[in-house]
Amino acid sequence: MSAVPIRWRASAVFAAMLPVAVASAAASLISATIEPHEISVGQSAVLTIVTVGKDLGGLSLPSVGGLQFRVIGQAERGNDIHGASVMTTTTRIRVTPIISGDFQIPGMAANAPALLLHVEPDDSQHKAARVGGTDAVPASEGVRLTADGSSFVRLVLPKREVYVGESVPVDIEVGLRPGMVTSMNGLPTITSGEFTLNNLSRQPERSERAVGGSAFSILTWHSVISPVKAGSFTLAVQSPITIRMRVRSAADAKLDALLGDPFLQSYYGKSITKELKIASPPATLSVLALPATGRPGDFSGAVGSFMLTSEIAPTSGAAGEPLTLRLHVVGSGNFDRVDSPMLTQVEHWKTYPAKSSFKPGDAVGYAGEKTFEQPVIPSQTGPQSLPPLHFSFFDPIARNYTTLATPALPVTITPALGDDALTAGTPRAADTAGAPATEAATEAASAAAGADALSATGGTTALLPDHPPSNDVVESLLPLYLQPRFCAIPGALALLWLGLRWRWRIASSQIGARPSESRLRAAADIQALAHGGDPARFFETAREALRDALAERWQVAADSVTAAFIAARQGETPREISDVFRIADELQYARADGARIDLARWSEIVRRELLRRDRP
Amino acid sequence: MTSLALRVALRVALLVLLVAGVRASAAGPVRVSYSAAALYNLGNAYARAGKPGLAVLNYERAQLLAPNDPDLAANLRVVRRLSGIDVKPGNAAAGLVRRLNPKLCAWVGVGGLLLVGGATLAGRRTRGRRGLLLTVSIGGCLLIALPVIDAVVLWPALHAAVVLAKTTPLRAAPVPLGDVLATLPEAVTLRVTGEHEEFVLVQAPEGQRGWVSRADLGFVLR
Repeated sequence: MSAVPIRWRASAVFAAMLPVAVASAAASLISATIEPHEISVGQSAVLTIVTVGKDLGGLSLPSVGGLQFRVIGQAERGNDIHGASVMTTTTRIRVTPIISGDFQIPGMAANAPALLLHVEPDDSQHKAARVGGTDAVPASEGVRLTADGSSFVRLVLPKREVYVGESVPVDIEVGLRPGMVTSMNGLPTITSGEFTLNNLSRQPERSERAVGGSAFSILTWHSVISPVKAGSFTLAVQSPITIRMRVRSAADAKLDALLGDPFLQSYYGKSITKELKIASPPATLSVLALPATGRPGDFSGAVGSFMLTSEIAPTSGAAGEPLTLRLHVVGSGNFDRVDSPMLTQVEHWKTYPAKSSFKPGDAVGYAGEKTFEQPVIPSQTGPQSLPPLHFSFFDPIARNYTTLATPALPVTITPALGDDALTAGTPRAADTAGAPATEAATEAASAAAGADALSATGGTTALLPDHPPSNDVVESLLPLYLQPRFCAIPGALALLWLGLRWRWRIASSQIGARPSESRLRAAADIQALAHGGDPARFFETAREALRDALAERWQVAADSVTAAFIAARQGETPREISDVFRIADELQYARADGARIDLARWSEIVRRELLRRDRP
Repeated sequence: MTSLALRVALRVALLVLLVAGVRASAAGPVRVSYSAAALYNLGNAYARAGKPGLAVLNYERAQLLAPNDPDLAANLRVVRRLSGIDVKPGNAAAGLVRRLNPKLCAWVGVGGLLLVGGATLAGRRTRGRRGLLLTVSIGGCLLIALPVIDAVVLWPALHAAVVLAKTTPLRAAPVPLGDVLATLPEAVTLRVTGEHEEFVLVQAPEGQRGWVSRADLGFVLR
């Protein structure tokens, strides 16, 4: 092994031109590459050598201290070069480092440059140390290959004892053996309902690693898990994949045994695909409940390690003008539970609800900075001070609650109206308080409120602060009773009232006046005479009663109401009424026999006419 | 049969008219909305920016929506005094009426109308309790009078304008070169009594009447 001070190019390609190779001896080297050129201990690189011809006698495995070499596959391919058939052989060699460092692999043939390989210390151990876990899982643990050795899933946990609500950064590694696993059919998921998996990174990191003597492509997702309840739970992750399985003949199986790698599977035998869901070995986590003792009143559920700073901007301003108070919470933990009510009620200050924003410091939002912004408006001039802000959280390392406080923030407040023309002749609160006695009651009332406000500002003139936005909006400044749309309501009521009155008037006019007492008596007499059986007297009385009634109704003299007169006003009375007059004349003057006259019928006709209501 | 068909046709026509009306109102131009808080804050912003005329104009508009806001009255008084405008107190009764909420007055008036109408209808139906019905009718009439009185008192404020220019000439005639009767300061509130082309006939707080260029004024009711 020889150390190399600089990083060289990833692969050394010294491809000779193929015609030249053809023209040379039987087994000459065409190219040698190594991929990747930077790996970690526990991972593997693949050295690919392409030679012309089948004779590998001139090609020997290199010997480098700290590196292990093993042939994992070989393939032959025919090429037609200028009409000549040439066979090229591709040989794949796995290079597995035992220790870290920079390695130089000597050239495979004469005049060929050496290949360089950079090996980092164990990656998983490095990551576990970075997340601060004291009982991190070694890289070699937690790997359980599937039965066919094609894949595995591994959950890298920084620690095994966590608190409810605590965010724990984890890595999910999915190892896929090239050539056997054709695709991944979804993102990894956790199998336990007692944990939530949050902020899974969108794109996994890709790397190569040797596991169980085989090269695997490793896809690594970073995420955060959070336990939802206390207890001892097992946790595992699973991932859906599609693998290709060979339906091997006996000869192929024998060949596989000879070559020992799936590299050549695409050349031999028939293969089928199968969808699988691979899972990691279950890991047991102990989830502790947050202690009830010593819990601060403003504890919002934040678990982690945080620092607190605050600022006010600008540090000076005019009364009534809004300033922005900011609280910065920096650290690592469950930022979704980091909350602060900021300032609520402060004398001489008007406060508004705060807004928060989060700026992540890593891909999964475990570390970062949460900022709370609150508009505050001073109402008193002079040097002011905003009270300290507090924030409480649970520290899982110290295993206790911590309450942090920011220092009080000094602010200088100047009078509100900055315009020179307006500030000239500044009135004092005393001016308002000592308003002339002739002021109207309304003015005095509002002046009193204003005087209070002004005196609250320390005797200086200042505009009272802005009001918070209101949802009570109108579409017009006109008073409601002058708006046409509203006027439709009383208008409709008035129309309804007038309509009802008009309808009643019509109804009363249709009913008419009630019959007079004399007509009622006459009707009774008529009824009595009908029972008496004297037709002459009946009709005589009926004629007189009808004459009076019709004269009254038509507003004419009683003498003018005759049978001919009634006939002339045809339609205003029933036809039988004129017959009453005619029959009465016949009975009186012609002495006609009225024995067969139906007096009951005539009585009904006459009475109906007498009792009819007169229309006005 | 014909009568039924006619009634159905009338109802369909009414429904079509109603839908058309709703759609027409929905598709109309974008409506402006006002809130007392927004106008008050706007007035504060203009006051801080050194524009007392616009500040007073927005305060006056806000007072139409929130006549009882003490902050509003205080800031209006501060800006007027800092601008050198002395506002004489008005009639006490009118001041009391102006403190009534116009929206409340409107609904009280509707309530009065209902009372009067109900009492009248009840009097026709029942012969007795004429005294009670008379009292209810009188009460209803008083309630109806409330928005009427409020409208009368508020009428000058609805037809008011605020001087926005630094100095505005009050002219004897509605012409650009008319004789200058007085010079009006910024932020003074005038009562508008007439208009002629680009000039507005106004009455100053001191009682002076004259013509002011429309461009120098901001009208409380837009």
